[in-house]
Parts: sequence; C-alpha cells; structure tokens
Amino acid sequence: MPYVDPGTGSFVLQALAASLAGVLVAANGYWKRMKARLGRESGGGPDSDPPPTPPRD
Amino acid sequence: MSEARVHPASFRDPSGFVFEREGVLLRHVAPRYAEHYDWLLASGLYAELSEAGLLVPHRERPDLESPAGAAHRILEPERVEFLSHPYEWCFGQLRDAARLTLEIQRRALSRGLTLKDASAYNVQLQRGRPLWIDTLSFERLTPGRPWVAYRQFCQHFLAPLALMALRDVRLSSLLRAHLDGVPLDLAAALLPIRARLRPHLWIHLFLHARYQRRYAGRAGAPARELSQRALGQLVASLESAVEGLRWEPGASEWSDYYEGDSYSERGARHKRELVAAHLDAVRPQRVFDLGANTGEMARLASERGALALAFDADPACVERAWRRVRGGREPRLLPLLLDLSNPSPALGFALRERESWLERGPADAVLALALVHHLAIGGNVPLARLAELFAALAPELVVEFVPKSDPKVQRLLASREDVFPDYSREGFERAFSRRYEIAAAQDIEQSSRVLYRMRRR
Repeated sequence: MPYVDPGTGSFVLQALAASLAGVLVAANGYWKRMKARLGRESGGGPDSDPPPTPPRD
Repeated sequence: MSEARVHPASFRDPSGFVFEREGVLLRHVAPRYAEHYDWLLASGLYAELSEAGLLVPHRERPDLESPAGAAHRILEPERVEFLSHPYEWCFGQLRDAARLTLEIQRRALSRGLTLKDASAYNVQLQRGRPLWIDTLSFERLTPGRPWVAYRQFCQHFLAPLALMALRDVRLSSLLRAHLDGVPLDLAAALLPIRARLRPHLWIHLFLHARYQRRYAGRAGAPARELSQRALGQLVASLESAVEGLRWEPGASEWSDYYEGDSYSERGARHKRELVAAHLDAVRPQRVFDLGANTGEMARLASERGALALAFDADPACVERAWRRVRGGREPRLLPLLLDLSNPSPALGFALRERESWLERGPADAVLALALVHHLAIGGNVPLARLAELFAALAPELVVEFVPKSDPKVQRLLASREDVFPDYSREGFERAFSRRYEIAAAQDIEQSSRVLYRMRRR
C-alpha cells in the first residue's frame, strides 16, 4: 500500500525507461565484447572490465 | 503504562509509526501492513538484508503495548548512534546511500518484494556504512505495477548526485530547501549540457522531467505494465547512472591545513599529545569535533572508544575523511558536513520533521581546535557567544586559542580593519570564564598557540 505520490509522469515513463535501459545494456555488452575481441587480436589480454555491480567495500 | 512520545517526523506512512517510551525507540506496525511485514520475514528478505548489514535489525516486543491501539507488531530496532541528514552528507556518503537503496531494491525484487519509498531519510550512516532504517518500506510485489518509488529515488539521490558531480559540489544544499529531493525540472535547468550526453542520466533525469511536466495535470494516466525483468533493468540502469558520477576532492584551502605553516613537526606532535591527554582525563563517550578538517584529531577520540562526530564545512575535507572511514574501517568516526556559522536548522512540517543540529546534541565533550579564530575574526562572532555555543553542546571543552601574532590570523586580518580589541589571550580567557572553569592551559611547542581544557560551570 504505497503512500507516496509516485507521480503520474514517472509511472508512464517507466516502461519506456526500462526498454531504453535494456537497449543500452545490450549495446554496452556488445561494445565490450567488440573491444575484447579487438584487444585480443592486437595481442592484448582478456577483457578485464568488472561487471557493473555497485562495489561494496 | 508510561508516556509514549510519537516521533514528530513519523506521520506520513499509514503502515506504522515510530514512538519512544522510557528512552527506547519502538515501531508500531499497523494491522493494514500485516501482510507485507509477514512476507518480509517469510520471504527471507529480512534475514538476508539484516545479516548483510544493509537493513537495521530489530526484535519484536510482544510484551509491549502501542499508544495508538491495536498493532500487528511492536518492533524495537537497533538504535542509530547519531542521526544525520542527507544535506549533511558529502558526495561519497550520498552516493553510498544511493547504492544501498538500489541494492536493496534489487534484492527485494528477487524475493517478491519492492520498496514503496526511496527517500534518502530512510538511510542512516552507522559504523561507517549506510544502513536502511525503515523496516516498513517494503511491500509485496504487485505483478506488472511500475516502481512506485522511482520518482523519489531520482529526486533524492540521482539529481543531487548529478548536480554535485557535474555542476558544483555545494549544490547538495538544495536538499535543505527541498525535503522531497531536488525537483527534476530544477535539476535539468541547472545541469550542464554535457549531462545530457550520458544516456542513463538522460533517461532518468531529463526525459523524466519532461514526462513529469507532460502529465502534471493528469491523474491516473494509464501506464504500461513492467515485468519483473523490466523492473530489474530499471534498477541496473539507475546503478549505471550513479556509477558514472564521480567527484574528486582536489585541492582545497583546508585539506592541506596540517601541512601548512601552522605547526612544526614537533608542534603538531605536541598538540596531538596534549589533546590525547585531555581525552584520557575526560573519557568522553561522545565527542563533537567542530571544524574537524579531515578528522585527524577526532580520530584520537574514536581510537579511545568514543563516538566521534567530525564536523566540517568544507566538502573536500568531509569527503577525504569519509574515504578513510567508509566500509566500516573506522566505525567510531563519522565525518559530516556542517557550517558552524549556519548549521542545519529545524525543517519540515511545523519545523518538527528534521531536528536542528543543536537538538541532536548533547555530547560529552567538544573539540574546538584551530577554529576559534575563524569564527571570531573571520566570522565576526564575539568570543563570549562562542563560549555560549560550545557550552550548549557539552560540559567539557578542549579549545585552542590562536593569537593575533599567528600567521594564520595575520592572513585573516591582512585585508581588513582590526576591529577586535578584545581578541587576546586575556580577552579569550575572560570571555570563556563566564561559562567555563579553566582546568588546564598549555602553550603548544614551537607555536604561539595555547591549548585549554575547560569544564562548564
């Protein structure tokens, strides 16, 4: 039973925001794989980018 | 049954409220919230979050009665050692609180729950880590429904973080003026153009502000459903937006203070020894270090087991201090942003929702080191009024007098008229003797400064 005003605009935006976010994440993943592949081809090491989870010290 | 005092800020959420009885903080869980509370426990989310140190642990008190009629449960949460507010946090603290909120939402989703509010006031800093304190924020996930707290997260966390990182770190003070977070249209107006080039930020701040404006007059416009996966993508996107925001303290006039011309190495060491000896004599449990810089002196108190609050007005100093203590590395030291010439006032409805800084005292001892000259000369505050302020905070005081001959004071007087005839060692002792007894006074080696220990009369 939510009591805060979620905001009509915020509600309506979310589905769009989530799909845009999905596209961004997919594009980012594709970009990272491309970088890794190019890196390996020119003698670089394996892709060492950490996954985007919030670091907890 | 003794008097119960309902917390003045605890009135918005019909799921329950916080009250105090005989010094114990308790939470009334309303019967209408029963289903959600029970699922919080049954799903394993409470155990997971409290064991990971993310959610405040509590115990149930079936032996107690609520002042407001039938309660589903009465909870006794673990007490927060010192209550601080988001406008008193440095960039890193707000960012850590944002990360905590998103991690909690992520874990909640995986167990069929969701956060129904994402206010920065649900987070407190405890033992060097952010901690979620509102146990009643969780509700059972309604399949398909968008995240109710999305707007609040963007206003309380994302907008101020973006403003601090991309425009000016001092913009966190907007949180004092806007208790429900920075309005998105305001954030959009203040952020530089390049902020729009960040895709996740663009969605959650700029596009979001546009949608808010478009639907402003309209209640209950139909919103498309979100699958659980989509809700997770939303969280991941917000996490990306937060991770992309960084702020480096850089050089500030204060952060190099101790390397400056104030003390020789021997003088600095002597001062440290004197302060340590005074702390050993007083043995305070709670210490307010005013103008604490990066917390070096406050650390002397926390190392001795006291809870040390290191207050400073410079965001760079507080940031540096937080980077040393965060992650629980120094659980007894909490750095916070505070301008002594204009400390946090009482805020909110009837000015009772957010306590002023003064109301969050008292402490057992105040440290006022390398401070008085900034307030008295730089800030034109009469010495007697400083004594009044310190006396209102704690019975014991360790204070450093910096005379006019000191290079730092010379610098303060360089471009102005010397209108401080009473600013001298004698004048200082006279002004403070009205409220305090001087227990000790020692010259700091190789400097003209004097360190005092005083006890309030």
